[in-house]
Amino acid sequence: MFRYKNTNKKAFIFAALIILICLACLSGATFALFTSTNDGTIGVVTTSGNLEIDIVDTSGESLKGKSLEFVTLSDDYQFEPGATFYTQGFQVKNAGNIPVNFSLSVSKDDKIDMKEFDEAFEVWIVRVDDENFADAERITNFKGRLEVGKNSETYCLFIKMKETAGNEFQNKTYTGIGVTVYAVQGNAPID
Amino acid sequence: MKKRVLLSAIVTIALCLSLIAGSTFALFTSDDDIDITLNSGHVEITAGLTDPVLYSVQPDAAGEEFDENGKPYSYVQQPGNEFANGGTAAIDPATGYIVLERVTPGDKITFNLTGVNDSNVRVQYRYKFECVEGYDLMSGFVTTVEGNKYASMAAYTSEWHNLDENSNIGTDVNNGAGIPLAIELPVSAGNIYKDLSATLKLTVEVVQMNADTTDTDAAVVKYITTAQSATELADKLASDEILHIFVRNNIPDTVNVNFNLTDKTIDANGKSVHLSFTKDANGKPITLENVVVKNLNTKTINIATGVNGDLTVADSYFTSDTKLGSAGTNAFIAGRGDANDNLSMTVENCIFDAQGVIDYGVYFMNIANLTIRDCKINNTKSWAIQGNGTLGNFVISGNTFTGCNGILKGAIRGGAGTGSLSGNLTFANNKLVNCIKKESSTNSGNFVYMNLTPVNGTITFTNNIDNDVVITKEDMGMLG
Repeated sequence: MFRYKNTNKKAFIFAALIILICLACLSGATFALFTSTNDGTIGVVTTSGNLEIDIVDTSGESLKGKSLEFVTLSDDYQFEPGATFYTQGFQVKNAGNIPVNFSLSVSKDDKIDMKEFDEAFEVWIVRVDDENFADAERITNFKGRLEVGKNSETYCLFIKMKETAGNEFQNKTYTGIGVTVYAVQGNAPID
Repeated sequence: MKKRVLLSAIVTIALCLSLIAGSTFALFTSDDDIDITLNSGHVEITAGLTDPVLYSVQPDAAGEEFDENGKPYSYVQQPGNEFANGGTAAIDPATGYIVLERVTPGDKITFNLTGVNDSNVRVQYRYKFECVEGYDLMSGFVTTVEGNKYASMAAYTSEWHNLDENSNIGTDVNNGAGIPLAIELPVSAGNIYKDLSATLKLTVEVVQMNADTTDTDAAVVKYITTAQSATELADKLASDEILHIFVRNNIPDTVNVNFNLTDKTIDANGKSVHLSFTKDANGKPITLENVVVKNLNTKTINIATGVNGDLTVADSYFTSDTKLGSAGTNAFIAGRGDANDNLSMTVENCIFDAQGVIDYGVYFMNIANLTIRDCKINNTKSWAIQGNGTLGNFVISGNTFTGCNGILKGAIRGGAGTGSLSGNLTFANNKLVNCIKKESSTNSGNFVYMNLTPVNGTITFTNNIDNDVVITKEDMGMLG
């Protein structure tokens, strides 16, 4: 009588054991799924532009918060009917990092009695490059464009006391006359 | 003859029966070896941002300005990588990030999230587009995701999408051309968004196809917002949709936080906001998870019993020239927890200016973990930091104490003895300037900077100086 190797039965038991082990795993274990994350390697970094303008003197010093000095035509710079005086030169500077459209205009403080002031005085802006101030274009509201880091032409402020100003304007002091620069980003129109 | 045959048969049968009954069968068998090769799948996705297109608002031929308040504005595609005002957009090859510079109101960029399923199995994927830095600027942006616009978006998490192997992201959204995205700073955005920066991160997450993702079956959007009053701030904190809240004005009334919070930031922008954390309306404890309060300019934060989780106070300034409360509550950050509470608090990069009037910079009764780092604590009337009751781990590092009347004390609640830390103490890289030693509460006549023994855990005491001279823990008063 020959004995034969009982391989099948062992194979059957082994297979059964494997199934049992797998079932045990499935019933009680936590799934560790296959996952992947593409993390941190894509995105957007952004900065916004900075619109900043300044009014500077001809040496580039900021005049913000300061007064424009008069360039006197004589040692005595008190106004009288017919007298005209002008200020030091100033420029508009684009101190930001985007181009701007700007407007430059004569401004008068709210504290001034406009009617009274306008009765006695005229104020206008002139380009300093205009050699003959007497015939220079009088600017009350100028619009322009400045690229990044650029300065405008040089301007100065003219103030003339009208010949018709009467004695009621003697010994008066007016403050709050100046220039205002308004700027918007370069692709926007300026009102 | 028959009898022999019968006997033989019977014997044979008996033998077989006995074999059946108890023995091991020796069956006819055969075997062969077969190799099985198992290859597991892999899950992998490659993604990137592509096809940036720039637009800027242009006035029309008549020079009329368009804006989104009533009049439609027209975005004009810009040639190349420059916006109308000179801002630029480029993909950084080193990082894969799109870098936008000098964006101005009226600028917009569109781009696609593209990629391919590099797995050899089918997968589900989703993506998250979130601001990780620069919420100020991000609050001004309008973000478009898959055609939907979201103003002041903090984070967008998409729903899960199916994707076959070797298929492109966006197959079911945009015919495989990727996920369309856009960011714009609208024309109406004002000067508060000038000169700022922000970083947005895109994350693509992939799981095998049969993963259970049904708990997130729709896109989730979180927002940045502002609050102007205590009530509004509390309401917005309670909203699941809000991630980041800016405060742009002083809020005089106390903001009562008596609900669970998860992933919230209050950015006070240097304004005064008084925060009080307490149990909920039913007297149940609350849990704070990843809650950050920063940029405060205020007097006090109060934390009552029943507050658990983790809270960070950062980049803030505390000062008062009048007392803030009675003993134990005359502190800028005053915590009066319960021994069962489990709160971890981090205070970093803050200034506490006590003006000789406020007893403590930070006072805590019962806290699990307290970290105070990179702060300046000035002129406290009593200990700069005081703990009471059940105290866990303390990390005090990188701080400057100036003119304080004692540095660190722990005391058993209600008692006058020295307190103990159940955990570890790290006191490192701190600087003392003109501080005063206080009399030890357990060793009268002995003046110390630190009245806190024993510490049951480990003590790390390194690199601390007192008026430019290295100080030891013994000099501090640490005997443990």
